[in-house]
Amino acid sequence: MKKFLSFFLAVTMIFTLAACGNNTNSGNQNGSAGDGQSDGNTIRIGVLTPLTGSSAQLGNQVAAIYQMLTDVINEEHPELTMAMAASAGITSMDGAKLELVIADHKSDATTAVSEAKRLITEQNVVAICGEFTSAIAKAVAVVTEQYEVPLIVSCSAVSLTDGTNDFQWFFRYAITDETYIKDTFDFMNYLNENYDAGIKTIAMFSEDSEFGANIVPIEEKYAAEYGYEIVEKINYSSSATNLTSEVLKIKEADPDVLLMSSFVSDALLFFNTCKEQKYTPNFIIGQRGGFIQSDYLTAMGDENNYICTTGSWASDINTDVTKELVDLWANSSYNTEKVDLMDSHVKDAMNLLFLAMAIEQAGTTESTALREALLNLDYDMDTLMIPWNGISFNEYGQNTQSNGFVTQYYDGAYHTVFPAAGASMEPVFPMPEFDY
Amino acid sequence: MKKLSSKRYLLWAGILVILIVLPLLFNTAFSHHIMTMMCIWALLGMGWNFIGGYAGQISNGHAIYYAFGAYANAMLLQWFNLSPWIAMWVGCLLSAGIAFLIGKGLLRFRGHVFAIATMAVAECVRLIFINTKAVGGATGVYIFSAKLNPILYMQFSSTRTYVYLYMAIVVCVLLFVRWLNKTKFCYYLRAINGNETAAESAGINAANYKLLAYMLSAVIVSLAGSLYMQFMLYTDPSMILTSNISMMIVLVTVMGGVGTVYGPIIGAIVLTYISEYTRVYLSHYNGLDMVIYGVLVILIVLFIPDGLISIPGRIKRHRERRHTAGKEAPAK
Amino acid sequence: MSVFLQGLYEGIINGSILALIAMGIALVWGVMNILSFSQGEFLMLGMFVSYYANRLLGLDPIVAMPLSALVLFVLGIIIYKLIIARALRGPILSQRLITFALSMVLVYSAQLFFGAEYKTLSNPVKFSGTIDLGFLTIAKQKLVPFLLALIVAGLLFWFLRYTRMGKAIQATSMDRYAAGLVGINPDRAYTISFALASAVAGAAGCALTYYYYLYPNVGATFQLWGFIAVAMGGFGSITGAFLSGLLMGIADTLTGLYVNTAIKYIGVCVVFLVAVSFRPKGIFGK
Repeated sequence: MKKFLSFFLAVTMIFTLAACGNNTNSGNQNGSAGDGQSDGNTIRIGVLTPLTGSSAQLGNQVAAIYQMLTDVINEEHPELTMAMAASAGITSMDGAKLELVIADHKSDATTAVSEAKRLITEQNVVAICGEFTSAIAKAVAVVTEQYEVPLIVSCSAVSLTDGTNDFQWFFRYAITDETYIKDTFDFMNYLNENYDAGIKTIAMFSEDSEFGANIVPIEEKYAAEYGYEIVEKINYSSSATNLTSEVLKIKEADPDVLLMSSFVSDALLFFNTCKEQKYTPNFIIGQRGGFIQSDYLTAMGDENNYICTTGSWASDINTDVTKELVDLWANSSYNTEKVDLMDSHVKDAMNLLFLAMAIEQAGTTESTALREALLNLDYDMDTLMIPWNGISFNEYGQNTQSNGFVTQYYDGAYHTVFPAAGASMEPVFPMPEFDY
Repeated sequence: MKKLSSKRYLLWAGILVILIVLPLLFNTAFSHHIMTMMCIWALLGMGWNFIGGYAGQISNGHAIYYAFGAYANAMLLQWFNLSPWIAMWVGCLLSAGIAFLIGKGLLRFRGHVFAIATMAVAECVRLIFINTKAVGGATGVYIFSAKLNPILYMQFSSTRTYVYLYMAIVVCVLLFVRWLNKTKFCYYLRAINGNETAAESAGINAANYKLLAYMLSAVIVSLAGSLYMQFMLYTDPSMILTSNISMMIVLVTVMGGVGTVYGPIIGAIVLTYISEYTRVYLSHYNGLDMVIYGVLVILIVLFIPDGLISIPGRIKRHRERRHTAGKEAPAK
Repeated sequence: MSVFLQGLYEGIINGSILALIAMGIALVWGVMNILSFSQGEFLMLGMFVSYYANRLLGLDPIVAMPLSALVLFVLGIIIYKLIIARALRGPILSQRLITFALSMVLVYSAQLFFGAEYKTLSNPVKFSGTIDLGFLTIAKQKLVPFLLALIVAGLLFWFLRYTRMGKAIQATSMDRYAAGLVGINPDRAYTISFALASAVAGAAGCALTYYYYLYPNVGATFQLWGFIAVAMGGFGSITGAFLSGLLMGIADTLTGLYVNTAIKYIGVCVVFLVAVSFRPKGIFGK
């Protein structure tokens, strides 16, 4: 018994001591010098992103574009029109440099909470941004709220900012599902009015985790409001071993438009199964998700032609700063996989830029001042990569003036097709048949 | 005899002091997070140990009780504004009831089939959770609110409070397990584990005792779920109801020492430590952290199949063997 | 009616992948009494072999199948010698957890070496296309898993029943020590059956790449259904695993078609639970 207890004691001691003793010097693996303090010349920013797990590719790409953007902000780039690029570092703080502390949340909320606490209390980051799914943002928001650290995300769940929780430190410049789906239905009306598409029936094809479950009720709401008949409503598991019964049901219903909220894996399996069943959906509008991931596009290739998706950024946006960004990324040494810049990257990258602008404006990293600056940001829309209508927040930290659009894939890239003002391509309706 | 027991009291006092001092010594939220998760995993392991360790029925689906505990807290707060201090006991009762139903059905199976059946039931429960709008479905449930009284609603702003509270609960459960360990109940369970037919011929109602052990394990796991919910303040089925969680519960116990009182605690401490720190140091190498984590687990389970708790015994045995060998040698 | 027929047919096809995984699990279970959690990862590795054979050499998965089976056979031997042989000396529970930890190592090694992104075959596959019978649409590439399952079931049956090695494996599975006494090397029998199981998973992985995507964690879901198929089929029964795999595929598709796609896997679990309630040792269990 005695030996037993002393052993227990020893093990507890060793591990807990080791666990806690190492904390101060952890996290320097990312090239971050410094002694764990945000002193006058470096400002630490926490980046939570999935470096392992099923979204690891996107997470690594987002980490890469963050590093590229940090270099742009920290160095002098007078030739660029992008905000914060012209001068080196944060000028209002004697040219202080941004320093990223990148942490892995493994697409797992418990891990994300643990890492958020580490970033805040041991790495002393002034704010957290990165690549979040809505579920992870919800879990991390509790932590940032308790420690009064700004959290800036671009995931799309409406419930984060509809008043169900009154977060003070949560900011979302990007749009929510509500806007994306309203765009979708406006686009269908637009097709009916201008292209004589004759869309009457729709079917919903949604995966059953957080992402799809947020979208389904909003789609139902707008379908009723806009007078489209829902002929089939499929909920499926994104890790399903097959989607046969799902496809057979869609084929039976044969809707005019198929609304898909899918991840990469299930979208790939869906199209393969469609081909096996010799079925081509009349028209497909995806809700971002898998449709704007580079591995999806690589796997699909030309088979993705004429598939539409909603989005908040496209490479054909006709502004100087967008062209600059595409160029920068194409030639960046961080872009090791040589992937094209996509919506999913840019809307995350925007958050870092906003954060830098807010620090510049506040002239300090003190959290209350930073919060004020984030909420009342001075901006010049011509220097931002996403040309939103404007920035103004409601009481829950949601930008109410952001807007999205619909893009259609053709010949290797998504092209804006709606709204007509920014369109670079005429929409093609319906989709031509797949090559069986 | 008296001397020995006073020594033992000293030891316990020492442990108590260390438990009190540690969170003060390492006073950051991340250290506290690790300690809290260690407590939760220790509870999960101790709970699972009753059915998996003492009774020898390897359940691979205990995540459902973890989820029932967590959701009981969340839903009772949302629906009836019930304090988690009460809700967690309601959750325990609920889990016991569900364990009764599931156990009645599944405990007839032996060996691998029981494990697979629990996995199948866990998968069904997961699907039911994500398709039930009333409990938030796949979008999960939120109970965080700055307006609630932190003490009454167990939403402390200081992570240290969580550590102390959860440590206290672990110690209570540990004392309970220690007491139970010496009762007929656990001897019967061990007898059933050893040889069910023999145990039955000795007059033990094996089915009843197994069911009781299953329910007891569900109650403790459910308690851990409630504590997890109060710590995270948000949950959804993909966080809490995965087959991975079910497997990790087994792993924690087996690494520490299956069927022992202290094993699950040691397993929880070691496993949480390995998983948090391999991630912090190695996750920048695209999955290397999990490879190393897996290799460490293989090595520990492979070379110490009776769990980390068996190490002192092994050393002792080794020493004795050398000792006796040393004694015999000159005699020859 | 035609939807029902199509559903039934597709169910059998989808079930044959489960059957293939289940047969591997059943072999290891029957011979060594280990519930192998790494079987799904052998499937994943088979898929990667098929993917790279296609990408680098332009091979069809059906051509890459022997290669994949061979690679996985060798890997199976290595893993058996390195880990499983030692694990067999420990308690059953730690054997299971070692295969679980092994699956973790394999998944994340795959991520480390092949990347975490989702992939599908990049070069065009020759054996594809559809045959439209009017009442039934048959995708040629989906016949592969079905035919493979039939062939593997037949081969395993023949191997275990009629070859010297197979008989030795069967004898070992009945009583390891007695088998040792009559001159059978039990370790060798174990090695061969573990490697065979992983080779079957490797071949199944090739068949799966015809229509499924691949990524490091692809094995986990298939494995769960593989387990259920084996438990339903009965203790270590190859035939049982094969037939209950097909049955689960049918249950999956028909629940999806006629009840609700969201709960199609509940349908599968219910079929399993009902089956084992009536026959606790599985449909073909002795």
